[in-house]
Amino acid sequence: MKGSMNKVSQEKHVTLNLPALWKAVPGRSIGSRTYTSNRSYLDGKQIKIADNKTPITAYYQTFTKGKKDFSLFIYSDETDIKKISDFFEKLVKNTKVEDISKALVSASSDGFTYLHTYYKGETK
Amino acid sequence: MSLPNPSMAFIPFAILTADEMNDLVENDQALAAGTGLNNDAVPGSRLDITTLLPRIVLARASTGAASTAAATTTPINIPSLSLSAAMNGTHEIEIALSIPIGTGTVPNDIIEYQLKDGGTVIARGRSVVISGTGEIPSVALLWLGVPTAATHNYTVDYVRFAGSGNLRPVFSTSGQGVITIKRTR
Repeated sequence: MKGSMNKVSQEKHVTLNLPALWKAVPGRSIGSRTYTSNRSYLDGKQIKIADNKTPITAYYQTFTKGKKDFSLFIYSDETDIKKISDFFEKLVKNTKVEDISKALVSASSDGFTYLHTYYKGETK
Repeated sequence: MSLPNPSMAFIPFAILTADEMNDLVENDQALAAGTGLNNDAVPGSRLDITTLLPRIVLARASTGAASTAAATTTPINIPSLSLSAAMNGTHEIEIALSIPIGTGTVPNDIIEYQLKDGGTVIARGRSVVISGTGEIPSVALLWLGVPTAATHNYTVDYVRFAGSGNLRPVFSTSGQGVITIKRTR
C-alpha cells in the first residue's frame, strides 16, 4: 500500500479494482453507484463494458487525515460496500499525509491519483 | 435536507444519465421555488429586512442620558434619537416617538416636540408645565406615511412653544426616550 502514486489526467477507461485518491466528494461520507451498461473499464489489459451480467460499481468515501479532506474511489466488481469501506480504511491508514496533499493539489474532475494497491490484494 | 434529491455526488469517470440530470434540474427548481431550503436555512442577517412584510422594525434608538439642554425659542435637537432608514417609495411606515417627563421653570409654559424628516417637521406633540411641581407630562407621537424612495434621516427637536421659561425633557434609565421606525405595509 505504501509507495508512490500516479497522477492521472486523461484516461479513456477506468481501471477496475484500482483505488484512486481525489478531492472530497460533497455531501456524503460514503456512496456507490452501479453501472449495468455503457461503462467501459480496463480489466488487466482488456477493455470491457459493464452489462447486466457483469455490472461494476463505483464506490467513493470521504476521509479526513492531517486536516486534509479527500475521497477515495474505486470502480469494482465487488458488491459488498462494507468490504470496500474496510479496504479504504486500511489504505488511508497507510497513505502519508504528504502524498495526500500532493494528490489534492492536482485533483480536479479529470485529475486524480491512482494508489498502488489493487482491491483483492493485487499490486499494480 | 429539503432538496428532492439530496446527497447527489459524482466521481471521475461517472456517466451522468438523463435521470440524474433531471434530478439535478429538480433540485435547482426546488431551490428556485424556495421549497428546497431547509427550515431556518436563511438567517436574518442574510435578508434585506426592508423587503419583508409588515411590522418589521427598520430602526430603533433610545436614550436614558440625563443631561439635556434647556430650550427656549430655539429648537434643540436630541442627537441620540436620530435615525436613518432606507425607503423604497411604496412601503408604509410608522414612526413612534415616546418622550418621558420633562421639567420647566415657569408653570403653564408649553413644550413642543418635533419629529423631523430631514429639515421638515412631520409630526408635533405638546405638553404643559404643571403648576406647583414644574413637571411636564410625557408625550407620545405617532406618524404614519409612505416616505419617498431615498434614505431618510429622522430627528427629534424640542422647543418652547409658549411661555417665558426654560423647558427640557428628562431622560433616565426608567424614563427613556424611544424612537422606532416600523414598516407596517
